[in-house]
Amino acid sequence: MTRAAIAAVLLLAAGAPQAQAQAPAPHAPGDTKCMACHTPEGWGDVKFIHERTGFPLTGKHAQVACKKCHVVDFKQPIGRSCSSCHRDVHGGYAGFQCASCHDVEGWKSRFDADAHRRNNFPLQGRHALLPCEQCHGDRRDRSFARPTVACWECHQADLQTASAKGVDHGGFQGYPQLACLGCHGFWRWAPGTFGGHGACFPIDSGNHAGITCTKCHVTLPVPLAIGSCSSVPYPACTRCHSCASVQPKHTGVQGFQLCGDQRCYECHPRGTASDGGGARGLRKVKR
Amino acid sequence: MSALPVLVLLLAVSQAPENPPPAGAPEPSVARRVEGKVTFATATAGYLDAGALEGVAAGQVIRLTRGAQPSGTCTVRETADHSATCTGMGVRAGDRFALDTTVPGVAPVAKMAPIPTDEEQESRLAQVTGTPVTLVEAKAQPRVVTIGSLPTVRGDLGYAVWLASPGGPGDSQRIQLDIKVNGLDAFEGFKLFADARLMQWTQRDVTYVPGSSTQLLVYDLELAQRDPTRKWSAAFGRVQPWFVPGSTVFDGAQGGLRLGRNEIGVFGGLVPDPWTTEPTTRRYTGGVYGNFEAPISGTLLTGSARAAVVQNPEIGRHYEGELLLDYWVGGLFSASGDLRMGFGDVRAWAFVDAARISFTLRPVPIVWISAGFSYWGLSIPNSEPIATYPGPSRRADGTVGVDATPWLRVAALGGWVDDLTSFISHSYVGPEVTFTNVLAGLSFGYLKDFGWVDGQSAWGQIAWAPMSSTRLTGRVSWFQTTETIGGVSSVAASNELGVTVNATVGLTSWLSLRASVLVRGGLESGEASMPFGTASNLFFVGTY
Repeated sequence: MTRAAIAAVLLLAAGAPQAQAQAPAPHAPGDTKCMACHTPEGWGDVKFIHERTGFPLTGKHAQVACKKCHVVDFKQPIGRSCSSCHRDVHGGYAGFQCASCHDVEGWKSRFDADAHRRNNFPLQGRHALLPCEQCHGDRRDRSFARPTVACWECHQADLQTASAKGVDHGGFQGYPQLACLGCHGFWRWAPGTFGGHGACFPIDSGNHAGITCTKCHVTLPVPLAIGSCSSVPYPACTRCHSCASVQPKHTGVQGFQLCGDQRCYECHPRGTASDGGGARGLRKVKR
Repeated sequence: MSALPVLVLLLAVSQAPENPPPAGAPEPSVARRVEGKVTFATATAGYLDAGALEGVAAGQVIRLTRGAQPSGTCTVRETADHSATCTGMGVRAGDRFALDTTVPGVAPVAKMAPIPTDEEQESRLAQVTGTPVTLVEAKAQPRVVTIGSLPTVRGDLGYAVWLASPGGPGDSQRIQLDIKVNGLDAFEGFKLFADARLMQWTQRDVTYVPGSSTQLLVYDLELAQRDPTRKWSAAFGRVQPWFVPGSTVFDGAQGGLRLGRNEIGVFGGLVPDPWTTEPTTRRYTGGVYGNFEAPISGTLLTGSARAAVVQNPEIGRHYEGELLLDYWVGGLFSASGDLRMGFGDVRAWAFVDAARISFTLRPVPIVWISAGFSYWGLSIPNSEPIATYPGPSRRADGTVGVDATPWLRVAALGGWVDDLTSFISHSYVGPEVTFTNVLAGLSFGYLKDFGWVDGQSAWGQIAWAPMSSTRLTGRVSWFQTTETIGGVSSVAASNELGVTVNATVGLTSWLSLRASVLVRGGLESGEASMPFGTASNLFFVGTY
C-alpha cells in the first residue's frame, strides 16, 4: 500500500505540467476603488480598515501579505478559524479552539500550569513544575494527550521501585485510581504520610512518632488507604521489639508465651507500655 | 439685533466698485516688494526662501546684499511655491535680497448661488436620511498595515529549568535550540519548510526523560509546492500534510491535483517514532484525501476528508476514515465538526475513534457565545514509561462573553472533562473580567472546581506593551484544592500561590529576548518547610 502510494505521488509529480508561477490576482475585475486600500505614497503601503470585516488584523496577522489569505480575490469569502489558513500540527488531538493555547503574537504556546486547571488534571504541587514531555509522550505530533488521570499511568516505574525496595504496593493495582493520594502528596512523593493511621496505631506522636512505613510494614493492604483497620496484617513489631528483648518486662504476663506481632498489637494498640492489656484485656498477673 | 445684517449689506453695497470686472477676465497684477535671503549656496547657485507665490519668477535677476553692501547678482532658474533657485557666482548663505515684482491680483468673489428654499432643503434632507447606510463593525482608526514582513526563518536559543524544593525526579535543565523555516524558496516553486528542536539535557531523570542526553526532534522537514494558482501540489520529505485531517507526520510524500478551489490526492510514508521522532519502519500510513471549498451566497463551507490505513505496534493495522467540515456565516456564526471512524485489530465503540464539534455565535456585535464538545473513543495501549496516547474521554466547554463597554469585557466560562477509563471527572465554572484600557489589559478571573479535584482558584493578570516590540505580562494565582478519593474528601484543603512573569523584548529588528518565570509555593499546614519551585526559561530569538 505504501509503495503504491509513493509511486502514485512520483508519477503525479513527474507528469504534472510545469505551470508558470503566477502572481495571485486578488482584485476582482472592474474594481477601480483603489483609494479604498492604497495610498499615493506607494502600492506597497496598504491602508484598509480590516476591522470592517469582523476580523481585525492584530499581532502577526498585521504583517501577512493580503494574498496569503485572499488567494483568489477579495470578494471570495474565506474561513475565519485558524485551520482555514494554518495546518493542524497536533494531528487533530488538540481540538478546534487554538486560542486556548496560542495567540496572534506567535505560535509559541501560552498554555501554562495555570491553564491546566481547565482540563481533567489540574497541575498541583510538583506537577506544575515539570517539562511537558514528562507526562505527554507524543512529541512527534505534540498531541498533549493523556490516557487517564490515574496516578500509575505515569508513575508505573515509581510503583515498581517502591514495591521492590520498600513496602509492597502491588495490592493497589486495580483499586481506586487515586488511592495513591491517600499517602502521597503533590509536592512530596516520599515519605508517604497516611493521615488515617492514628485510628489504627498512632505514629504522629508518642514513641513511634515519625516512624517510616517500612519499619513495620512489608506490604500495604488496600483497606489501609481507605481508613479501615480491619483485615490489616499485623505490623512487624518484633522487628524492633524482639520477644527476647522484651521478655524481662513481661514476666508473669499472661499469654506472653505466644509472643509475636499479632500479640504485641493486641496488648499495645497505642504503642505504649502503659496501654498493656489492650483490646483483649490481657493483664499482667498480680503476684 | 435684527437690523445688523441689513446695515452690513448697505455698507457693502456703498463701498462696492461701480464697475466690477466681468467674470472670467484676467485680474490686474499687483506690485509687491519681496524680501528674503539665501538659505543655502553652492559655488554657482543659491537657494532662496521665496518662490512663485511671493512673485519670484524664472529669469529675474536678483540683487544680493551682504551686511548692507551689494554682493552680486543671481538669476532665478527654477521656482517652487515658496522657494526658488538662482544661478550666480559668489553667492553665500545668508545673503539678503529685495525684489520689486508683481503678483496676480486677488480673484473676485464668485457669485454665490441663491440659498435653496425651505422646500428644497427639506427634500435634500429627506433624500440623505432615506439613503440606507451599511453598518460596519469598524471601531479603530485607519492605520497603515506593514504587510509581507513575516520572517521566513526563526531560531530560538536558550536555557530552561524546572526546579523545586524538595528536589525530585522532576528537576530538569536543558539547553534548547528551536529552528523553524517557513517557506524558503528552493526550486521550481518548491519551498523548504522545517521545524526542529535540538536539546541538551544537563539535568533530568531518565525514568521520565529516557534516551540520550542530547536529543533532536524533527517535526517537519519537507520541500513543498502548494502555490494555489497551480494545478497541482506536491510535498516530500518529513511531511506535515495539508488537507489530510487527523493524519500524523510521515516520511514520505503528498501529491494532489487542484480542481478550482478543490483538491484531491494521495499521501503516504513511514511514521516516525512518537518519542524520538527517529525514522522507523514499524509504523506507516497511507491513503487518499480530498478538500473542497464551497461559497454559498455569502457564506462558506469547506471540508476535507481522509481515508487511510495506519499500522503501528500499539494497535496493529487500523483502517480510518475522517471528515472535517467548517462553515462560516461572516462574523456572525461559525461551526466546525470532525468525525473519525475506524476498524481493525483494535476498534472503538460504534467504530467512532474520535468526534468533535465546536461553534461560535455573535447574535449581536458585543456578545459572543462559543461552545465545543469532543469525544475520544479509541483505547490505545501505552508503552512504558511515558504515557503517549489518549484514553477514551469526553469533554465539553463553553464561554459567553460581552463587550460591555469599549474598555470592559466580561465573560463566563465553564467546562467538564470525563475520563471514560476511570470515570474520574472534573468540571469548572467561573467569571473573567478584562479592562482593556489599563495598560495592555488588566484581567481577573475565578474558577470553582468540582469533581475529583474540588476547590477554587483565582488570578489577576496585567499586560504592558510600552513599545511595539516589547510586551510584559505578570500574573498572580491562588489555588485551593481538596482531592476527593472514592467519593470522600480525604485530604485537607491545600493552598498554593503562584507568580508568573513573561517578557518579550525586541533588541534589534532581527533579534529579541523572551523570558518566562513561574514560581509556585505550597501553603500547606503541618509541613516542616514550605515547598516551592520554579519553571523558568530565557531565550534569544533571531529571525530572518
